[in-house]
Amino acid sequence: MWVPGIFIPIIGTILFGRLLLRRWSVLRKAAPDKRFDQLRSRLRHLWSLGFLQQRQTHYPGTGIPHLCIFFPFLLSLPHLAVLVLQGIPGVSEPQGRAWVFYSHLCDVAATVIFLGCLAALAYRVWLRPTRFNAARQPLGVLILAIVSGLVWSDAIFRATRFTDVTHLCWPFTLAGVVQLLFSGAAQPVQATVGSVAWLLHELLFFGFLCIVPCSKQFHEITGLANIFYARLEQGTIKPLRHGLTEQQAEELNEVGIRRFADFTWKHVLDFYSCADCGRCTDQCPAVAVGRALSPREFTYAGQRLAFEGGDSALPYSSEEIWSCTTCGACEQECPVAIEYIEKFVDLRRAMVEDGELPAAVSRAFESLEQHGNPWGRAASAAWPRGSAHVNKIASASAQSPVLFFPDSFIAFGDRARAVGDAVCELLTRTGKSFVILPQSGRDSGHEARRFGEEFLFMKLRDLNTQAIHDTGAQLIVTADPHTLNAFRHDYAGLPPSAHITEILAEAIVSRGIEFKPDHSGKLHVFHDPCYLGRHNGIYEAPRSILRSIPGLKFGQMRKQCDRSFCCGGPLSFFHQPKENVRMADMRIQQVLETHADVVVTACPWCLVNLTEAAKSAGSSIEVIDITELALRQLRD
Amino acid sequence: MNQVFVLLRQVQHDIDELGLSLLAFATGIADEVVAVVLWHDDRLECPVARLRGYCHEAWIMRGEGLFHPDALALGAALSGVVPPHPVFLMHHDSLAMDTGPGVSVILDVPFVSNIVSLESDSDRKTRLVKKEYGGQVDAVYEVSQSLGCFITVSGAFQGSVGKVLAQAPRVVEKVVRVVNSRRCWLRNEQADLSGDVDLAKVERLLAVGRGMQEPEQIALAEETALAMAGAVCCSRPVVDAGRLGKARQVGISGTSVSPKIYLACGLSGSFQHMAGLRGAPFIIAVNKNPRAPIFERADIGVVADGAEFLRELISALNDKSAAVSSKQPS
Amino acid sequence: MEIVCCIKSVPNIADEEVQIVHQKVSVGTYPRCLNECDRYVLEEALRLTELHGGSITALTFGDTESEDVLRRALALGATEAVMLNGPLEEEPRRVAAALAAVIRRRHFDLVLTGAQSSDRQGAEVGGMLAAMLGVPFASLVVAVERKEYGVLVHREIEGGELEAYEVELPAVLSLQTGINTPRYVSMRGIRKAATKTITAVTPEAVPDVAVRLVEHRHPPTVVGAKMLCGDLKAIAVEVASMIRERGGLQ
Repeated sequence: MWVPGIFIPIIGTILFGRLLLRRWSVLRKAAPDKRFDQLRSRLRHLWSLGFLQQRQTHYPGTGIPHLCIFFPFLLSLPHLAVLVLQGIPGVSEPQGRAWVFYSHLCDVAATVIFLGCLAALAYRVWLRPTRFNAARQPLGVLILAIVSGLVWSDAIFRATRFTDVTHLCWPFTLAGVVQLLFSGAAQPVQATVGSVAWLLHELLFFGFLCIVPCSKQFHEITGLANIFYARLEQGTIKPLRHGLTEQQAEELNEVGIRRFADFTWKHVLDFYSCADCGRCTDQCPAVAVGRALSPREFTYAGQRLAFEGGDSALPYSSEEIWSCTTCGACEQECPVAIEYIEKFVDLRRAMVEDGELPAAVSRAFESLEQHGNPWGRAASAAWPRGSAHVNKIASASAQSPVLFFPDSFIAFGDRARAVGDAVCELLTRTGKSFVILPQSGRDSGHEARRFGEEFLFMKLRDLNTQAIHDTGAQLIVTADPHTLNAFRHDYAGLPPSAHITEILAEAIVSRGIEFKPDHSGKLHVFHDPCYLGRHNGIYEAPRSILRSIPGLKFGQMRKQCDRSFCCGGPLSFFHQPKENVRMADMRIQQVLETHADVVVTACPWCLVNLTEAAKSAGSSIEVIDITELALRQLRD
Repeated sequence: MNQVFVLLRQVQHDIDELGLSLLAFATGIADEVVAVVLWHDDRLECPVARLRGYCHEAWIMRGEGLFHPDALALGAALSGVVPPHPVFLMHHDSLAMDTGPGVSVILDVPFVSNIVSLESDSDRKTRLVKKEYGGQVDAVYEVSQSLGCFITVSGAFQGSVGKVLAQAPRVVEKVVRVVNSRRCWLRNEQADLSGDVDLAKVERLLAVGRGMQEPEQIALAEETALAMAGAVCCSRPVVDAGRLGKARQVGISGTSVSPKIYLACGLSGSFQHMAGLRGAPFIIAVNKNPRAPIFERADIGVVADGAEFLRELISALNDKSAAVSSKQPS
Repeated sequence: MEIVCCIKSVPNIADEEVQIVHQKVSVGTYPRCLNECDRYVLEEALRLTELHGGSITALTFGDTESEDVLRRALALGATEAVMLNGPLEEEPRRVAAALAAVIRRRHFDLVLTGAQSSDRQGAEVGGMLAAMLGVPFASLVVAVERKEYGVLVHREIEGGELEAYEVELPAVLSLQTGINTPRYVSMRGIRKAATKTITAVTPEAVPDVAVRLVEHRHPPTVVGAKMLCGDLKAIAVEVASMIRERGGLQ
């Protein structure tokens, strides 16, 4: 036995090692990334996502089988090592009762693994979920077959190795079943069978070892590392280039991603770690409406490129890259914490520099540069001018530590400015003093950054930061979750900022703000805005407001909280990619399924998108912002 | 004014109408009106007949170089025959834009273009008003009559018609030899206005402008046009942005239309566009800007977002019961 | 081809009402931008040099704020940028004379200008410049093609007709909007161009012009339309019935 016993491991290890080296060299050629900070948080994240596999059960049909494979596998690692190396002369199994007991546990593990494989196989072959790529089904089946083969060959080897009663395997394990089947066979037969099984295991193991770095199974090796190096802060975008100051970045010859080598090593690790599970694609609103984008195919193409050495041209189309709304549903779902948004932004940076961007987006950029808003409107026409709250603009006579930053949509949108009015009313009637930023129409630059115009974003950021500091504000209030995200994650050195729902929720608790009861019997549902919920974790505040309205009928809806479905966001105002249906139309259908009378949201973009969608659908459902609802129900 | 030259051109086998109306105005402000006609037909009966009563003297200028002339050719031709410091009037068309500025340099007279009003006073000064800043500003300029001037006159010019002259004009034929022009006319082509619809035949038109040029809004416009059994047309910026084909452009350099109903959405109503509207259509204008010039010309005005309005209009048009009731005698 | 682009920085009024103070438009209260036609000028120059080689010189007549349009031209790929200092609202004849003085001293194949500027809307400088330089001119150009004899240009005239002309070089062309699709310039590109030099030139003294601006004033507002107010739905119903009655709709 020792010829193959040495031969196979040596060849297998060499081949495996060479593959690993190739994968490593691509990582080394990649752009820098900063992921070595906050070790404690990283370890915590690794524990919950990586070892406890917290996201797996979000899709229980395949999640539970995966747990059945993952945990037992971890348990069996020492056993596996001993098994594989037993072919080398001099290497033998450890002795002792502890090891024997452990081996029995490994038999159980093997059984659970096999049951997991069966369940996964059944899911793949009979249920055929749409998120699994049909063309790659054979590979998926093959992997499951190999894993099953590994545990079975292990079980057969274990079962037939010793035939005396002291080595009875536990019944109801694979090994136990095999022992039962072979109980009548003669010892030499069993020994031969055992040897064959061992050989088979050896071949399968080292064969599989070489398949791992060439397929989606590479996630077995890189997945935990990918989780460890994952971005800890939500809602952020990478700088132009890690390790450079903004001035230095200005000197660069080019910015953004034009070729594979422009991806950072973490991006490459993302590509390596994709297990082709398709959960990102299942949640992606762009996929649901039929746009050219599929996050999983994006990563899969990246994986292919990485495996080939990272020299070919990028296969991504402009349509694909401009389809992403940055809603974050993909990143929320991925069990190995693959990041998407900053890759798309980086790709867009290159395209913007090369002039390849949708015409409406370029017009928006020019307007932002000229007027500070993307709408082509003169700054002087911004809300609150023309409204009753114009006296709240910060000036020598109007000062307050609380500053309301409307951002350009509330300042210029016909429907959106009503939210601005509602916020002012609410703050006044709940006794909170505040002022409005004088340059009320200026955009925070949040979308400019995510559409790839980093320098335009920086210019707006610097102007706004200065203007905010000039007012002496200590707290910034906003009604636009995109603004909140910009202030919390894109800007630095600002006083703390809060969304109006957080302010209200806190006021309800601390100052006992009361609402008039709602006995209309109308069913209300809440649409979670992407940038309030997923990117900033604010799910409870708006709900607590709704719960504080006595008698209000509040219902659940499909795809809410962290699985909320994007309304299309600001992108839908500037670019219409080819799609089968508009995101907002699809979302309003999901709302209408609940037979709700009112859909409440907390973002002006969602408000306008859903209002238009409701009109297109011919529905009379009321679309209202939470500030408007709260104001309506506020007790006098 | 003592003497005014009015430059006219041949259009097909006649003199252009707008030039004639300019002559009619000139007789009211000048003692001596000279019509300078760029003519290339062999026979002169037509221009002579047409000019009767409009001018004191008519110069029929002929020559190969005057067929699609550029400024160098026209300037050379005129500088040989006009006195110093002439006052020229010319209709502000594509020929005037092409030749006017250069001719004014060659004749060494000041130049003012696209005026909408002209007043002479006894002080030998002339005040000219032209529109600037997108039509939002009237700019008043003053020239001294003794120094001459080359003035191009907008189609929107408001001026009173002078007297019809009793006697026939003195006709002078001037043949000009322009040598070695470095610009040579090749041919005229019809722009490729091939489209699926002939706007000139459509009775109900929905016009979109810069305010409604996004693909979504145009789709909405097309849906509305369908609901009113009409067609979508547009102003120049929409074609420049690549949203609609050239065949849909209405205006001076586009198609002329004469519909019964003209619904203008997100369209400011610039002169170049409105000049494409002939006849007396019933104009309904929808614009977010209450100061949009189109509200001057429209019959009905609505200050609203174009897209929002069209959505309501589509359901109103598709409402069959209303259609029936509107047919009933009131 | 050696191409000179004459571009202009104009006030960006957006949708505001034009401020007139002391009978003059207060230009200083507005941000500035590149004249719309001149975007097409720069793009056409880029297109022609990309096809036929050569270099682009960008020229502007204006004040210090006008420099931004030269930065933009440099960011797009102009080799040289020249600033002629003078008041933004200078008379076109004097602007043309100042430009001609600079251009005359260079070797050039084409001078490209915009058909007209969005502020003064005179459509004058191009034609005057050509006459001063003594070269042929074509306005309202919607297509330019390099040929052995010079360029083949198409002008767009009334009724959508096109006139084709063979023009010998050197020549001046003024371009109409829609001739091409101007490419986007990223802010980073413009900032990188900030380090490139702009040659400042004091314009030669040019004779006074016999046109005097008396005043700017708001035109009298004539609202001829009957304005419908109120609920949009109701207005739409009214308009729909007007369309049916007056529009001959069945």
